Amino acid sequence: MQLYKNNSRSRFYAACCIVLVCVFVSACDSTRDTVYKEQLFVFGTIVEISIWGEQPEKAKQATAELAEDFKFLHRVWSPRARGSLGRMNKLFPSKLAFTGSPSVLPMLVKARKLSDQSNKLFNPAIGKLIQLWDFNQENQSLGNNSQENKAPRELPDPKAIADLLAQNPTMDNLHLEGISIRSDNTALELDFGAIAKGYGIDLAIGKLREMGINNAIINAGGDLRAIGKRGDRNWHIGIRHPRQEGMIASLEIIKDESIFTSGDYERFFEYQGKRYHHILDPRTGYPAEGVVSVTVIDHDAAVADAAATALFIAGPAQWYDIAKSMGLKWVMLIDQDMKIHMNPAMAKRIKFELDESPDIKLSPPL
Amino acid sequence: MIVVAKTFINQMTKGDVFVLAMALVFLVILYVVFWRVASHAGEYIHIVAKGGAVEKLSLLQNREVTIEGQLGNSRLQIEGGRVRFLSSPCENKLCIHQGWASLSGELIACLPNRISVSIEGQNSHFDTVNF
Amino acid sequence: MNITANTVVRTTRDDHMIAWLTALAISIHLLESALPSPFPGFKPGLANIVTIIVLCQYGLKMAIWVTLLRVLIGSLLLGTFMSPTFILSLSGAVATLLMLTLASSLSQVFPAWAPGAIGYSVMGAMTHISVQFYVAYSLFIQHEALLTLLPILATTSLIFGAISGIVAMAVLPELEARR
Repeated sequence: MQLYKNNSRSRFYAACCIVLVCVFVSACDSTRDTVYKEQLFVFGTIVEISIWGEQPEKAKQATAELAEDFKFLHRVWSPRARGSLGRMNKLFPSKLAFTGSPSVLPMLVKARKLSDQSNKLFNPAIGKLIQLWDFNQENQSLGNNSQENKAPRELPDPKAIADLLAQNPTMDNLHLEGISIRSDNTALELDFGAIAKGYGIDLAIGKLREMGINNAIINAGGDLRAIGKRGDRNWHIGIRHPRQEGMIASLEIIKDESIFTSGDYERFFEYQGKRYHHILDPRTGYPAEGVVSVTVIDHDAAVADAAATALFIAGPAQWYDIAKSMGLKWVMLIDQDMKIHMNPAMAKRIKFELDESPDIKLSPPL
Repeated sequence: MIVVAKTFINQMTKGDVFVLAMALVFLVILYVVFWRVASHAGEYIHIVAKGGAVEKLSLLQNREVTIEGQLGNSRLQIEGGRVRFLSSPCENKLCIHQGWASLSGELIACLPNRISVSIEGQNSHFDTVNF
Repeated sequence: MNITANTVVRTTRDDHMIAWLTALAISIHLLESALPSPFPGFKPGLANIVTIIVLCQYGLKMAIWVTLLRVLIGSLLLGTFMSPTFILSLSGAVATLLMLTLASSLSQVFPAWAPGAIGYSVMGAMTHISVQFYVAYSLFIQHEALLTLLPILATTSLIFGAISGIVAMAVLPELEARR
């Protein structure tokens, strides 16, 4: 069976084929699954970090650095601890100007802008109201055994709530000149609970990028930002069902996006058969009603964080207008009847994981 | 029939036998690699307690396990490919309220007791879960 | 070398044979595409009998021609040209041809180990299924559950590869006799 006449030419062909096979095999090898995953008890919650395609040592080191950062941020951003924000909150009632902390001011400026865009529904100036309800993130996070998240058996005093509402502290009460800041409202206390997680994740992602890590997820207590891919496919994210076990939907991350969900199931207590959750409506002083959860996708985790809270408070009737003014592109709101409100772009990319098709109400495009 | 088969076998060269042998080896490798994974398709749980102590348990084996955390012992129940907190020394019992978790990518945890339980597996449903 | 009206294009008996064999390969290709299969583009690959026969009888260059023509014309006739099915077919065919090139070159260097029809057929079938599956998995359907199908598909491939090889072994002496 003489296939070739020329022996040296056949050697050349053989060599070419072997090279091709080697290239193919090595290409297969590089797509192998290598996700490094670690859970950290930091930032008042569980932070899960997933890194794809890096050497385990490098991923481990990056994770350790992020853990330190999150611990630091948690201290300086706690509203009543002995950190930067705690100090500022002590000084605001004096109405005098003082130097704002550089670890707080950038987030404060961003929060002020988002508060404006959300028509003050996202209002970080109502720290006193949040303290009154005592869903206290502080106790929950510090892990001090006995004081762990003591939910109040009683509701707060309605008069105290009314007093705080009358004084109406907002971000407009803050006057910032350079790094000098003062408040003209003695009732103002900053609580960045509805943006700090997002802002912290953004900082952490920035740090990962500086270290040359471009494929990762940072998930802090269920809210996350994902960058890059997992090998040759996109990161695949499940969205947990707010009322049942398992997932309600899933979606894929395109390049670099954050997914934040605010829900009434996250922190709550029950009093006389009624559920009181932690998302307070600054207009009423009571937990916002009519919504089970709001999921927002945005490039920026801080925006997604603040927006999820603002839209939860806005409710089924107003979410669309607020989402538009905040410049959001993907929103899903589940109301108390489990009806799903969302914009068409969101409907396009979300995949429901339910047995029966859900009741969906599409808004006009955002 | 046998005669026909014999002529074929006689016609086969050393190279033919070699190729057939290689093909069979290749097949065996395929079965080992892809079917062993499939039999593991049920995921396993990854327990992190006290910021380090790691345990890996199969989700297929029904059992109850006791994990030592910062406050005391938490009990986990594994049943029918799912896992949940049965008891925990924490005050708010949020970990127990989280209920069952069964899909890879899911995570249940008791923050006060510093115990996290994440589900992982080869057939990963999700890379992570938003809630 | 201009072909003028006066030039008579002479075709040899071998040319006729190759045209016939290509036509035969395309026919088998078309018939097979009517069979049900787990994914579009996965089929027994009996058209490879023709490839193997051409390879053994007329050499590698002709085998490449016949195979590529079969994939191209087959897809045009089926209306799958440039569709995923075509891409799967073509990737499998190209990989198989590369493997056959490698094997026939190596058998020049080590003549004692030269495979015959069944050897070429089986290695072609295994290469075909592996590469086709890899392409299908990475380009079209990235579901990990699919991977459990690969061993079964590869087993089927081995069986049909061997059958094709045996058929080719039976046909080759006949062809040789009529040459």
